[in-house]
Amino acid sequence: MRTGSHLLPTARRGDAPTLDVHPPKIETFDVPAMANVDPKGFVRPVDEYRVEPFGLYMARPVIDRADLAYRETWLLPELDLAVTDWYRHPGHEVDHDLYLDIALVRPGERTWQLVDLYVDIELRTGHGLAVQDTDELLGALGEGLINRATAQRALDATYRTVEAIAAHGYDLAAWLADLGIELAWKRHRA
Amino acid sequence: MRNRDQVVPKSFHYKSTPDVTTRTHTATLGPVGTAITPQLVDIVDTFTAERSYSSGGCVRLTFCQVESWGLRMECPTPEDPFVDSEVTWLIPDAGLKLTHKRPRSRHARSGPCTLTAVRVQRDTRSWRTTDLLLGLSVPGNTTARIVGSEEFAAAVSGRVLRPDDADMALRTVHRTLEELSHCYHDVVPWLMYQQITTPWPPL
Repeated sequence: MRTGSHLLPTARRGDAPTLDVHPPKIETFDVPAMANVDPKGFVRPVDEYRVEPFGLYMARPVIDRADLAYRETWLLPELDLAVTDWYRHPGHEVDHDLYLDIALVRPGERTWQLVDLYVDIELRTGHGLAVQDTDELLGALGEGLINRATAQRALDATYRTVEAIAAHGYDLAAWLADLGIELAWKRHRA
Repeated sequence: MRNRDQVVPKSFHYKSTPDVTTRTHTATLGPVGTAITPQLVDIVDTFTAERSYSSGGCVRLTFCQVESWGLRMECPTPEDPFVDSEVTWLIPDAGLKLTHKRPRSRHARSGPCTLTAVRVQRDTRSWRTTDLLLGLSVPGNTTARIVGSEEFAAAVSGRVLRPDDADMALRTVHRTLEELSHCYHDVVPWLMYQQITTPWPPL
């Protein structure tokens, strides 16, 4: 029964001594302009957007990062999730294959918006998951940077996601298939 | 299923007292108005089988037994018209308290048990438990449900709950939810997973 999957955090990643309490990061996905405005306000060119009934897909190169080369992201508003496959440069590999952000996703006719709710889930498909940065969520709540309802929504989304993925053998595709959602990836296949 | 361990030791068998202390809801914090239950601290004296609360109340337990994995106890609930007593297992290694309300009526349907994140400090005779306000309701026949998240969020924003305790509560509940999902959301195999072989639910 013991799966060795309980890679739950003891602190923030990197054992940072101080907590980074900040307002929620907001990202904009401008579909007609084929642009992605990152949380720092930089406009990044996008290779592909795809709108599906259940969400929005984006693929784009990552620049100015030594560790990251490319990014595929699915925004799933009804699940309060953004699922990202980060392509990493050689020497910067990590032990998880998909990265889930707990987030408010606001679809729009032209642009979509993602409000990052701090908590992340690192998924090692078929093996386990690790919930990260709950302390950032708690810090933001304690500092009044988000309200209780938003925090509770983030907590509920986290519980729902952890439970569902674990119940499906740590297979995101299997869970989403039960919901009628199939995510197409350049290098991952559902 | 009853085994010898479940027989109430005579030395710990007391008549219940009517002045059982219950949770008290105190100040409302913020404009929204979620009532905050302060962190509930209780201390069990395993020598006298008494449970005392941070609010000052005290109740005699009808059962109190230290186990290799933690502490088992049963507390009468004379103020509750439907519940005869509350069975509590403290499982310090898991950072959890397992609770089952024993109905008064034999014909009453047993409700879900609850796993609550707690911080347990113990010494030779006393077990001090701090309720971290977040838990899981485990009905056994369907998915476990988070309980207390509204109160928990209010306690964090109202700084009633310390940040490290709050983070520990979240990590404990995430881990337990994951474990329960491997155990078909059934407490019995989950207890086995914790290497606890004492029969559950208590008879």
